[in-house]
Formats: sequence, structure tokens, C-alpha cells
Amino acid sequence: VVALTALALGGAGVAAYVVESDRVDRRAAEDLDQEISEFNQLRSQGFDPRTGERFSSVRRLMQIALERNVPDDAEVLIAWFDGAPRLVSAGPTARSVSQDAAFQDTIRPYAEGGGGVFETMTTAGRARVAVQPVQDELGQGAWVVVFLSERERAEFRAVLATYWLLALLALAAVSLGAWSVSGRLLQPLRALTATAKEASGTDLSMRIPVEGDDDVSELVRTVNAMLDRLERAFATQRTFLDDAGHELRTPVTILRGHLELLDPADPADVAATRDLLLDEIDRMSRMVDDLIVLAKAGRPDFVRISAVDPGALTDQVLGKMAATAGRDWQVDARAEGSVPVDPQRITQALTQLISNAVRHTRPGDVVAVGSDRRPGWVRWWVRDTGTGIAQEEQEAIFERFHQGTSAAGRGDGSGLGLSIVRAIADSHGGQVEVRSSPGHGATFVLSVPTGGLDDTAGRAAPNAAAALTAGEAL
Amino acid sequence: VKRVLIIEDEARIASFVEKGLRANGMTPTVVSDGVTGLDYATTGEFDLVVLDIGLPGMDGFTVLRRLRQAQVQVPVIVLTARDSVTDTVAALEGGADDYMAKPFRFDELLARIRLRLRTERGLEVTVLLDAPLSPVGRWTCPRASSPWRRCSCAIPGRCCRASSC
Repeated sequence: VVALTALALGGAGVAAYVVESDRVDRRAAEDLDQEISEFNQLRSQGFDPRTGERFSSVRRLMQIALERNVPDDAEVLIAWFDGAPRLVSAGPTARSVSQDAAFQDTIRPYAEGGGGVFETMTTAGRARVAVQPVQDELGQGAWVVVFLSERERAEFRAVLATYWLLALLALAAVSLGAWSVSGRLLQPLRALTATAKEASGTDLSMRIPVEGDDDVSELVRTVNAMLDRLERAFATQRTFLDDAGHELRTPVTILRGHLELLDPADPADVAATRDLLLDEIDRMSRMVDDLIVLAKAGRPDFVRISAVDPGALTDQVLGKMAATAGRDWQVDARAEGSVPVDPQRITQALTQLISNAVRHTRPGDVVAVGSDRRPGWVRWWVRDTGTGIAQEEQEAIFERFHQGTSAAGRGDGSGLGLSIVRAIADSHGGQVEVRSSPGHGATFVLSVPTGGLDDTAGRAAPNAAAALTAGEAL
Repeated sequence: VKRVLIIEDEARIASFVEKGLRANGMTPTVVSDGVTGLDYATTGEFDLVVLDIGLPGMDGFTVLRRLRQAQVQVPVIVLTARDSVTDTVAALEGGADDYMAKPFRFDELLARIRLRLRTERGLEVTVLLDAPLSPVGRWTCPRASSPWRRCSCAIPGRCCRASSC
């Protein structure tokens, strides 16, 4: 800003100088032309006012010319004859200029030659000189007009000096103002830089203080919001890793402990430990697989949408799972048509829900699956008549590594199954809910919006409670 | 023969600890949840408790706190799967005598158990006498079969070993 202002002021000064000096030059030329032409007019047409006749001598001609002509401050008129300036216009400058020997020497060749217009130095500084020689019957001489452009320029320079002074003052004022304003404007940006430097993967807690509602404040708010999201994401990540580490320690403890206490001399112990450890390793690798699925959830390629028949999908999942355990398998309902979902992920979610149901039921208990469609939504559910889930636990079961309070311990589950179901629902923009009471089984409902791709789309999202009631009643 | 109570919900961990302790001449008992564990520990039947932190029903910290509130001074070694300092400090401040981070070496666990069993005898009397004298409100003494009785002599209202009365 300061540089720009300096440039503008400097440019204006230079422009003014150029224009003004050009004007001075032009004025000098005009003045000289005018004086010379006036003189020439007098010489060719004028009459001696005293005699009424033509001028009798050069001297007389010039005397009259001088008398008639009142030069302004910047002009000096010199009547040159007999080899020297003989008459000059009034004023101390005129005298000093005309009596300067160097000046006379400069003039002489012009005065005694063919005349001319030129620039020269005088005692009053640079000047423009026009010499009109007179060589005729009246005698010899020259009419010399000196235009003291230096003087004119000096006036102009005084103005210009004042201008520079004011310009410098203005520049200082602008600098001061710009410095304070930019300081105020840039202060949040500096805070931003400092905060960005400090923020690291381990500490994202700092925020930039913000006030006002200009663009910079808006930027600061945006950055603060970004830090909020980052901090949450990092916290989630940390918790996830913490949980994962915690859960993986259990199988490692088991492997190491059983190996340590293995009696190599006892074939029965070796066989039992081998089976146990292999099983533990299977469980561990399932957990690793589940962790990888969860880590992938949220990535754009986690779901690959295609047109799926929800009823047929239900049948397929049930067909596969029914072979794994002896339960009273039922189908509550089958939805028709086609919906845009990822068939593999939905299958994964339903498989998970069904194996949970199997784990919490005994042979002969009912495990039912169903699907139906509401405008804009498709739902699948898995219903069982098993042990059920206490009210206070119904939210917690969807958290990672949540283990039920049942004495059965962690069972076969990695503690990640329902987290995966929820991640699959989330990645479809849908939700998973549970309705259960202890002793009366549980129904898990997976609802997925079908969006504009559904031919019956348009009405409101299903009321969760109503949906669940319907699911249970079926 | 030393009796050791193992409160651990992961059966496969409990099983090798049990196996190892038995092989080293101790009598281990395994329970898999916090509530039962607290119940067993307060009977005074045990010389030492190996306590897991992540338990169903009641977590290990709560079991430990209740145990100490009840003035039961049995040595407790906490097993934790978290290596965070917070958990360790919480366990020790909650009255644990020692802790082991999972995964642990069984040899080391055994060494620590033996160390606690050795020092327990010497400390017992001191610990009982140093304990705060405030009566424990809702405390009821454990089973009649245990050597603990409601104390009516030295510190009324408190439970103590019958032999110290």
C-alpha cells in the first residue's frame, strides 16, 4: 500500500513536472516569437511617434520598441548595436544579465550574423534567447529577447517542492494508517499461521480467537471448524486404535500363556493346546478382518451400488445361514422390485445379524428374516426369540468391542459385528435399530433410503418406532 | 496350600493361569464376573486375588474399591490390557498390590504372586491395625464358615479374623 501510494504520488509529481516544464518551454517559445514579431512589425510599419516619420536609426527604433514594450518578470529585452548591448529593459535582472560578458560573447555572433534562437546560461540562470539582427539602411544592430525560463521554472519548482513535502507527509500518514489497519487485519492471519504451526497430530486442541464478521474472521471460523473436525477424527482414530490394541492383547495373552505352560512331554496336552491355539488364531484373524472392514468404512469405495432385489437377497442370506445352525428359520416378509444398494455389504450385515441371533438363541428357537419397502426406503430385519437385550444396553451394543454382560463371555464374536452393521447402514445413508426386551428376543432393523432411484419414492422417512413395531408384529 | 482367586472373564486366560498355579502347588479358583468375584473375595477364603479389569457386570476397579471399603486386605494383583498410566495409577491407588499388563509372561505373574504371598503374613497385623477406624455402614460379615467375624472386641462393627479378637 505504501509503495503503491509512493508510486502514485511520485508519478503525479513527475507528470506535473514534465507537463509544467513543457509548458514553460512552450511559453518561452511563444513569448520570444511574439516579441520578435512585434519588433519586426514596428520596424517594418512603425513610425517614430515624435517625428511622425519612419525611424531614422536603429537606436531610435529600439528605443521606441523598448518604451512601448513592457516585458514581464521573466523577459529581458536588449537593444544591441555598435557591438554591445546599449539599451535594456528596466529592472536589476535585465541589467545584470545584459552586462555579463560571457552572455555578451554568446550573443555577439548571432547579433552580428544571421540571428537565431538558442538556449544559454545567464546570470539569472538558464534562458532562452532570440536574436533578430537588423541590417538595413537604418544601421546595424540586433533586437535581443531573453526569456528567463529558469525564473519561471524556479517558481514552478517552489510549487513542486511544496508538493513533494506534502506528498511525503501524505505518504507518511498513509504508511502509518496502512500499518495499523493491516496490522489489525493481519493479526488473525498471523494467529492462524502460529496455530497451524503448533497444531500437530498429537495436539489439535488450540483454536484461534475470532471477533468481527469480515472475510478474515470468516476464514478463521472456517479453520476453527476444520480443526474441530480434525480433532474429532483424530480422537475417533485414537480410540479405535486403543480399542483394537486392547482387544488384540487378549488373544496374544492366550497364545503366550498356553504355550508357556505347555508340557511337551504330554501328547494329550500338546493336542489340546494346539486345537485351542489354532481356534484362538482363527478368532484373532476374524477380528483383524473385521477391523479392516471398519477401517475401510467411510471410504468412497466401501459400497458399490447396484440394482438389487431385496426379497431375493433375503432368501439367499437365509439359505446360506440356515445350514449353519438348527433353528426354526422363518421368513416374515419379502419385498419385491429392485433397490439401489450394495448387495455384498447388505449380505454381510444380514449375515452378521443372523449369526448374532444364532448366538443368542438355542436350537429350536425362532430366527426370522424379512424385508419390505416404504416410499423412499427399503428395510431388512432379523428377529429372534432369544435372550433379548436390556434397555440400557441397546445403544452400547453398537459400539466397538462391546461385550455383552452375559456370562457366556465374549463367545465367538470380535465385538465388532454390530459396529460393522452400523457402518454398512451409515455408508448407505441408512440406519440400524434394535427393539428388544430381556427374555422376549430381539429384532434388528436395517433401513436404507432408496432415494430418487426408487419408483415409489417421495414420502417421509419411516418412523423408526412404527417401523420396528411393524417388524416385530410380522 | 495357598488359595488363589482368579477373577477373569476370558476363559482361555483363566484356564492357563489356573493350570500354571495348580502346577506350582497352589489351589486356584476361577470366577468369570465381577459380582461373583467380589462375593468370593470378601469371604476371606483366599490368600490372594488375581483381578482382571475388564469384567462383565462389575469392572475390576469397582470390585477392588468395594473390597477395600469392606476392609478386606487380601493382596490383589490386577491384570490390565491397557498400558495407559492412568489405568495403572488407578489400580494401585484403588488398593491393588501389584499389576500385570497383558500380554504377560506367566513366569513373571507367578513370581509376583509368590512375592505377595510371602509378604502377606508379615503385613497382615499391621495393616489391620493401621486401617481407618470408621465403621463400615452396610457391611455384613461374610459366611459363617469363614474365619472373619463381626468384631465385637478391638474395633466394634468391623470385620476381622476371629483369631485377632
